[in-house]
Amino acid sequence: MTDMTAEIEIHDKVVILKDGGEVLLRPMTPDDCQTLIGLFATAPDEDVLYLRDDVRDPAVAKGWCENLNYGRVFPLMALADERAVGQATLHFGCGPERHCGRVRIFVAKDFRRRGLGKQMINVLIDLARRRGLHMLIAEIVLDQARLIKACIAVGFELCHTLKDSFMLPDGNTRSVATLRKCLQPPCDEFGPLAEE
Amino acid sequence: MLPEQTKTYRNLITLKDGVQVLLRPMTRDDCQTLTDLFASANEEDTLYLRDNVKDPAVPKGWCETLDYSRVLPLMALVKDRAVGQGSLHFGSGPERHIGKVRLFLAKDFRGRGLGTKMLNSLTDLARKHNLHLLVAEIVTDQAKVIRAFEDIGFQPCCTLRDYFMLRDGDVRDVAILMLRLREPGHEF
Repeated sequence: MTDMTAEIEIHDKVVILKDGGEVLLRPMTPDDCQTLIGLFATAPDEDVLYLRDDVRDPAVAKGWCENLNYGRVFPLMALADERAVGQATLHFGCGPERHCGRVRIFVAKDFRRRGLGKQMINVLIDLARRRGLHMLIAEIVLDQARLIKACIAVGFELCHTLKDSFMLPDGNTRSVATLRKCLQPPCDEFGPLAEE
Repeated sequence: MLPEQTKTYRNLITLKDGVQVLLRPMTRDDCQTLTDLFASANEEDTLYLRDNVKDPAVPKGWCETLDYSRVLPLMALVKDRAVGQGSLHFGSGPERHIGKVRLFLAKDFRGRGLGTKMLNSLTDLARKHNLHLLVAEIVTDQAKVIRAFEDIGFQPCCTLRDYFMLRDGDVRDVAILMLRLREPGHEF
């Protein structure tokens, strides 16, 4: 497991939003359980529809806080005063995917389109680079066109779409777009040209 | 499919050359048989597997933590010798309708129709578990394996560039193939 203290020192960061609002970005800690429950409890139904976990169930947030392991998943909290206004995570791959990371993000409705998501993703990109990852992947349900566009704006590229690969709670399915951001130049069989 | 039905699943198949192979779910007692299967495999055979199967602790771990509701591993046996292993990995949450398949065959049992029969069995099990989609992720170097999957109906979806990192740090592209087990519901 990674040294949690070191990560916390590195990642405490106050960001200024486009409208001047101040938000603290810092790693999630075991004490964030209630704050996190509050973030998801106020989210409307259509907001949580496309999340992978049933975040309305307090046991889910509790489980995340109790099983923190920054070497496996790095969760970043966004706080305005004492209120959680966003959460983003970087999931580290293992085995043959040890060079890949997956990002997920959730931002409270009243904090969208204010630049917060971009700042949060940039913190995760920075961490991924420092951990030596080669690429970041974001899997987003195709319905979430704004989120896809926002990821493209921070350098992700659309790779492909998998039809019907996301099942909603009611059993309906949606297609998922996979986006990728390269953090290192691709391997070149012939290597770079020598400077003349 | 009930857990009891999964446990008792048996399929005795006959290969093109007449050899009979028993396909059945892996049990806790298969540890040594499985270790032997991978021990006889050479380096290039195991290069594209996700786990370091040469380490006896890996098959041991699989046998000790068997959970058919998460992963359903299928053994191919000729008498007491394991000649192949396939697995069906059940998705969860929004991927609860998806299964991922993986396959490994002993070198002397390739090109004899065993892989196709094992994939058909895994597909059959996936249907019985009400899955909608089967997915296979295959390193693009393995052109023959990709073709074999296509032959039984898997469709290539996309290629993920540099997605698979070998033990030495080199990277390879991965092809994603998909087999639809159910037609999607239509809007009208």
